[in-house]
Amino acid sequence: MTELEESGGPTVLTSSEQAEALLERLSQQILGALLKTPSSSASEIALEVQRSLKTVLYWLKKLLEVGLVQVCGERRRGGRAVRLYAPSSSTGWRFPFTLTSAATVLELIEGQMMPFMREVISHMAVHVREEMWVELFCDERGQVQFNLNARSQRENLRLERTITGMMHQLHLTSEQAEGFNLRLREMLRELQEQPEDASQPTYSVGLFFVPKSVEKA
Amino acid sequence: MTLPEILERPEQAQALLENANREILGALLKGPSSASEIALEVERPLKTVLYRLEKLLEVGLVCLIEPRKRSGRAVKVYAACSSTGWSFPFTLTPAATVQELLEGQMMPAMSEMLGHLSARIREEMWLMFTRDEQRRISFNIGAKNPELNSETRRQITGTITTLRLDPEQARALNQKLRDLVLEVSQFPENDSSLPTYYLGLFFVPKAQD
Repeated sequence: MTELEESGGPTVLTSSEQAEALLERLSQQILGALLKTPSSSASEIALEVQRSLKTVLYWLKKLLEVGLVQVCGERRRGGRAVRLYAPSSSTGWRFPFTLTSAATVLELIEGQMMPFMREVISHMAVHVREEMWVELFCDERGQVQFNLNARSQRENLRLERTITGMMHQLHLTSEQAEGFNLRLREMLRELQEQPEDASQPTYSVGLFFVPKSVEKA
Repeated sequence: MTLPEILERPEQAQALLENANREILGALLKGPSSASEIALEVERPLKTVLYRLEKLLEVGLVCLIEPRKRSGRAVKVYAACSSTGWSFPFTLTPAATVQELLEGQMMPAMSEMLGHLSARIREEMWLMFTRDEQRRISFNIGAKNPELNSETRRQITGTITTLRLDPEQARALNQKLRDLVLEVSQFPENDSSLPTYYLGLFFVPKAQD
């Protein structure tokens, strides 16, 4: 396979400031909005990423400084000039792990995923009411279950229809594991192929299937 | 099914909120065991298990039954004080909010899982923030070498993403994940000699604040 950049792929970054900026969640959101719709004004971006204009302007300034964003023009509105922004690359960027300030892959991944998880949990908590019960028991098939449940069956059904949040450890043969992972991948592919309608509500989705590494145990 | 015993003491609730304790209690709910049998089952050092068992005895979640004789020596046998398990209301936990409780429960598990995820990723990985022909934005970690990438993908999935979905799509996706959860819970009592895998499935609507 030829190198990605030869086929007009993502621009390779060379400065660690740029890499750092790309690792910030809010920068990612702003850059994502600009990659989707280049030449947007700050207020259009703010609307898209659901943040205050002030926050977006602050981050745009940083992104301009490191050269990930540029001013591509102006629009006149009621005699006032409104700046329009565009990403410095139309296809995106890529950079090696060594360009980040993370000491280990774990540090990098935690830095990327934990804030997102915290956000997901905070949304989850809003849907869960305080009259929840915590349960640890062994079911009929001898599986130990740890659940957060409502006392009423109706409330549990409501939650089940709205939210999924589970973490589990499984013992599997390598064939079972590969089959299971394949299905998750398939689900992910389907999701990514669905056209997005910006007027619809937002959902956070997390899919993880990770073999326990022996060295780490 | 008989209902789990309802706990009334905060120390007991507190003990149940710790993952290592739950692993031990889970093992004991399957039947009485010696400390070394438990250590084997939960894949933790005997010393840790003994320390935890002591605490669980103190709060009355675990009790000692008739010792077993092994070559003249008495081996302590532990049992769960309830055969049906335990339950307790949110109000018995020290958490001030449901969010605090959920964070305390899920973040350590998440962190553990990410540790194992990272162990599979090599340092010569590249990070990519891209837009494809369909204008979809994605942030990926992958190898420069496509073969290495597809090898990793065959074994691991680790994705977090935000999507906009109409009510029909949202219902369908949540149902798919629920079906997977159900399927997993119906796996035959799994054989702990087989390798361990972490499965995490999340689908959460963004709350309107």
